[in-house]
Amino acid sequence: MKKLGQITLGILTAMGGFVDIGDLVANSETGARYGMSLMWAVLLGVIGIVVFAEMAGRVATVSKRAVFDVVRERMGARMALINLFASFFINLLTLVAELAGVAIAFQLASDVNYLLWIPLAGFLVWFVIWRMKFETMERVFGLMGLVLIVGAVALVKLHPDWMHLWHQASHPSIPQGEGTPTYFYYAIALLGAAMTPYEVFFFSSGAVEEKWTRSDLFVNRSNVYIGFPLGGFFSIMLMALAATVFFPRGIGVEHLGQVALPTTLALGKIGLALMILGFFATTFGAALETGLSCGYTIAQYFGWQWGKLVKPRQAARFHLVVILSLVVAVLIGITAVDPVQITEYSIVLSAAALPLTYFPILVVANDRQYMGDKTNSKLSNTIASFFMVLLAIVAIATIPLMIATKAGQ
Amino acid sequence: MSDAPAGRTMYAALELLDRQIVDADGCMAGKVDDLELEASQDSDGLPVVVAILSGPGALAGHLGGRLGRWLASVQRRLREGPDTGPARIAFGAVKRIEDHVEVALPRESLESNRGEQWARDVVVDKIPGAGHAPE
Amino acid sequence: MGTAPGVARLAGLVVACLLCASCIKTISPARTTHTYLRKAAHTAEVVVSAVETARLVAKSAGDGKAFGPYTSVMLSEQEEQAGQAQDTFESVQPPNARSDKVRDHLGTLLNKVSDQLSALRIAARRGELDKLSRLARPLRELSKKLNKFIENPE
Repeated sequence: MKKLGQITLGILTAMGGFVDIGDLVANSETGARYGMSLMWAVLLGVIGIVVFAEMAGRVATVSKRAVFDVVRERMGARMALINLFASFFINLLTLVAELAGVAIAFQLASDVNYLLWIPLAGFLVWFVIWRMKFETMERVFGLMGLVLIVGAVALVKLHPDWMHLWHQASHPSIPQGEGTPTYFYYAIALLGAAMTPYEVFFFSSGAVEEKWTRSDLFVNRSNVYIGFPLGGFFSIMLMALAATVFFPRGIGVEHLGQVALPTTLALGKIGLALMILGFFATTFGAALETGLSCGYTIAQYFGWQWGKLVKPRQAARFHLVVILSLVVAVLIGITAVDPVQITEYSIVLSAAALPLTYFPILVVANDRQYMGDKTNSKLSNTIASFFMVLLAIVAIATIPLMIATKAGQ
Repeated sequence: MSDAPAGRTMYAALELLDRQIVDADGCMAGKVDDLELEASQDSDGLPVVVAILSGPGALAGHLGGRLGRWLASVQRRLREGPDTGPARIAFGAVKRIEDHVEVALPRESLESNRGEQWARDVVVDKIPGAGHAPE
Repeated sequence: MGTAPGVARLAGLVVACLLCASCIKTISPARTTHTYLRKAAHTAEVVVSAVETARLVAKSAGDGKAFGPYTSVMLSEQEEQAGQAQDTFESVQPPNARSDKVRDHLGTLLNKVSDQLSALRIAARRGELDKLSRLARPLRELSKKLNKFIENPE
């Protein structure tokens, strides 16, 4: 019975922790602009992250190696260093976006300019990383993120035309006056929002640190196979809310606060309060993961002691990197870069850089030397290979599309 | 390529380079960034691995090209004392080689750990709570 | 230990890139009527979005569904967004007399929008949430006119 409780808790944590600022922004933006026509991109992204998170978790459990550790070994020091630059840079951008999200959540509750909240957000993130236990950290913010379910209640209360929404989703089409390149640009954004690289760094590093054994593989799988798709449900929910309230009125999402508006209309102050709490929980949780990932990637490349399970003074360089990353992120944030824009950049660039992270994992997951008898099944390999081809196409198409559409305008 | 103590022949590039170094206490202590080789006295003529080189200086040498030179200049700028070359672990200190390289020395005695000590003394130890693992 | 300068350099690069990126949104000149009309229509779209959002927020606040701080933040944001769109549009040189007329037409609408959004923001900041529904009423007509403009920018 206790095991069932543990599994349920794991699933709920994964579900609540799935969404981050990228999902909040991208799903609402596309719902407002294209209705449900891009739902397929979200589904694709959820399948992708499920397949690769399971793989990364399995690799970490069986080989006891975290992602960047393995990347260097398999790709060689040179390729891995270039990989590190790109991954770290994108991680940092994402961290800025998440901190801005936390700050905006504070702003929505207080009407104090979000720029003033950014340094506090950065400090709080550092403090939690410094003091809170890994598992506690995950649990608290993961479960807190579940308050977003209020959006589903709101959606029902808004009485949308379900048939119309379903028709839009199942017969994707580009609305009048919208260009095809921009449509696919947003498809890439949704893919990147669901398949964030930092998730994989964080996940596998956590698995190594907590010394997952083969008996934990089942729990890992249930978290990923059930928890993540349920989290993906939140993404679709956000898209549907925007499709119902914003799409008919020609409203475009330029500010995180708008994401809470449909729920406010349906459920009033309680809905609004829970939504803002949900924004805080998801962006703060993601900021923790991204901040730690900044440390994981660099420390694992250079072979430094890393992790939250050891005393900070025994992983000094790791913690120094985390602190510096947060400082730099805060500094970038307070230059008033547009939060929605930087979120878009971070998810689109994440999508383009996915092959860097996923390809080494796929290779190692098939290597008997690391995995013993737990190499990929034929099904995993088929799906993963399909994704590698897709991600390669995405990687090539992203920058041209970004330029051609002026970053989605 | 063979290594002197165990006399094993191995593909150093595959089985040694870029591996995690683990110290006598089980702590992570850097990566095998480069290897120091010596001409062998044996009849088989294969070079012998004499030492493991670790640290940015060693990595710079291994990377080569512009990337290596950039890394080397960064490391030079950070080095406090005279440039003593890359951190070197004599191969005699290697206890075991599995998927990581176990070394029979504590981390503190390794030259490559200076960066860690600097980070600890100058920054991390100054923050309250550095000595507690998170509860 | 190579991270401190590395990270600092990276940070400098990032900031530089972002400053460049924020410049990508610069205004390109409009040389033909067609281009000018397109820009005008796009401006109107952005402003319609702000107006409609403001209407929803005002209604929510008036119905007691939204908190004061949220209402203030949202209404300020919409005012700023509409204002920015207007500034951007008005800085574009109209290429000919026909474009001048378009500029005047849209400009008049945008000025009215700006007045209403300011009034809403001021009332919200003062905590006068009950006034918001009344203040938002003119926005309905303005929204319709803007939508008509988008369909036929002249």
